[in-house]
Amino acid sequence: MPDRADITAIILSAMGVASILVARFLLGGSGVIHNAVGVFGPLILFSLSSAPMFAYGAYWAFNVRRALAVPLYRRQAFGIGIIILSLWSTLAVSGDLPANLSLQVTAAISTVTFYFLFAVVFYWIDASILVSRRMDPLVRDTLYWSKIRIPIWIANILTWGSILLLAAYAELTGNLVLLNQLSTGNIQNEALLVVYNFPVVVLLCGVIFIPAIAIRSKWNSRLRMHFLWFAPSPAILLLLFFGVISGPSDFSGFILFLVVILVMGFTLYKSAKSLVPLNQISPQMTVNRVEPIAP
Amino acid sequence: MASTGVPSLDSLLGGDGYPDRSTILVVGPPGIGKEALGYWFTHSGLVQNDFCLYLTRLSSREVLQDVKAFNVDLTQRVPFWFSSDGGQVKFDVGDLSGLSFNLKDILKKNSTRRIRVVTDVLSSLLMLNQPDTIYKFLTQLFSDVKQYECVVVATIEEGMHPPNVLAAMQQLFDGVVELKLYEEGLRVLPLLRIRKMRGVTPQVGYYNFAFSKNGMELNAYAR
Repeated sequence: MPDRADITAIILSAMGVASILVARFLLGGSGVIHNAVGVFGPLILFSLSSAPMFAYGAYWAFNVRRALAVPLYRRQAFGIGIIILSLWSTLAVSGDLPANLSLQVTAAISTVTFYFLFAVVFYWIDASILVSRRMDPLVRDTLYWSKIRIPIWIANILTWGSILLLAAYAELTGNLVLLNQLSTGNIQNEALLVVYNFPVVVLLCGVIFIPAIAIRSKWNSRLRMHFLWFAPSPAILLLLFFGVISGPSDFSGFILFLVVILVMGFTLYKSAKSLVPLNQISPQMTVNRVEPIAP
Repeated sequence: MASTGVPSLDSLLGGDGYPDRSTILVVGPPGIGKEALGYWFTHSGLVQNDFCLYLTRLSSREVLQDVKAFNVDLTQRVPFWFSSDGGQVKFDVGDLSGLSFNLKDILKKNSTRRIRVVTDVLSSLLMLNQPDTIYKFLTQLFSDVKQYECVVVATIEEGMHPPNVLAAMQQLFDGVVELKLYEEGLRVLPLLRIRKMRGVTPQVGYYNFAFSKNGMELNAYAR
């Protein structure tokens, strides 16, 4: 049974789609939308129509984080909240950049958002594995994670830093060849290729841990629900990556793309909310008043 | 009476804390801060020179890391650690008879002092054994423990056990403190309730709680 918060989320998603339909009705045909609001049109429309759903999901993640007291569990809630925000910004900003922007700006935005998303997903994976270990009755350390996580973090930070420094250097010197390589991933230098792909490989290795800890978390229905609700998002991203779902090319494509992204936003919201068991306030709880406690 | 280490909770329980020779169960979801009640209870006991035993499925180092997050100092005065690693006695979650033997032995050796036992092993024991086995084990253990001037505080995870198992556990203990998260509109509220407490008039109130540098702050829940 969906509760009030779920219904609000569904309404926010429906409003996102409705706002596009209203925009089309007011502005005319699909081409008019693009032309009437200029080259930033699709970006603005997509951002505005999907922002409430993603913001709502992030709000719940931070809300859960605020209610928790133990740092480890707070980190996991914070991780999912930041993932929701960075996914939205990656999709809304770098995924639909206007064509008239310079390569410097495009490369800078896409590199920063891309690696920031990597960083936050890795942060969430790290927190989730540690939480799963803590909840395990035998406190089992999945694939020695607590021992290997620090070296992996150091290596990750070094590679992220190297790439961002390299991107900044290319920006400042106007090295368009290097910028193009960094923004497209078509790296010629072998050493740079290894550094460039290291975070991707690490993240994929991290993703392997998630099904393992989900299976191991059979004791904990909340953690399993958290992972189950999270699962559609990487699946949708993979479908987008391999072109099964295409980006917005015409109006119907735009609507389909938006619906898919809103579904992703909704599942992430549910994932954040299922981190903890939430009880409903009953009328009886408000009837019996008690005096404030004097310490 | 044994002070809980949280003045406002002591007031809520009639002024002096948990009843003597009692067993207290703290119920709540993971991460809400159940263990913090155990940390303050231990700290309060150490200050009063009680013998404090911390029985944990984690290593003592991990518990001390968590303790720091609640601004509790267990490094000056240290409890007796019965833990999976780094303690005076090693805890093996699969060895119930060893647990019972060691626990009784430690209590016997310190029977001249007031004793406080804090533990987080209950959920693990319930997950790895049949609930009726644990029920019988605890019934026997509690009757032995109550021969001493001892108060036991145990935590149990909400959402990890069937409701009937949780209800049976609550029935077994003298006092039950419930920490739960409630959804009120767009807010998540952590609320505390004394479900039952031996020697204390049954209470129906819910209390909003928050952790600060000074400990736990409780306020009557009002919508």
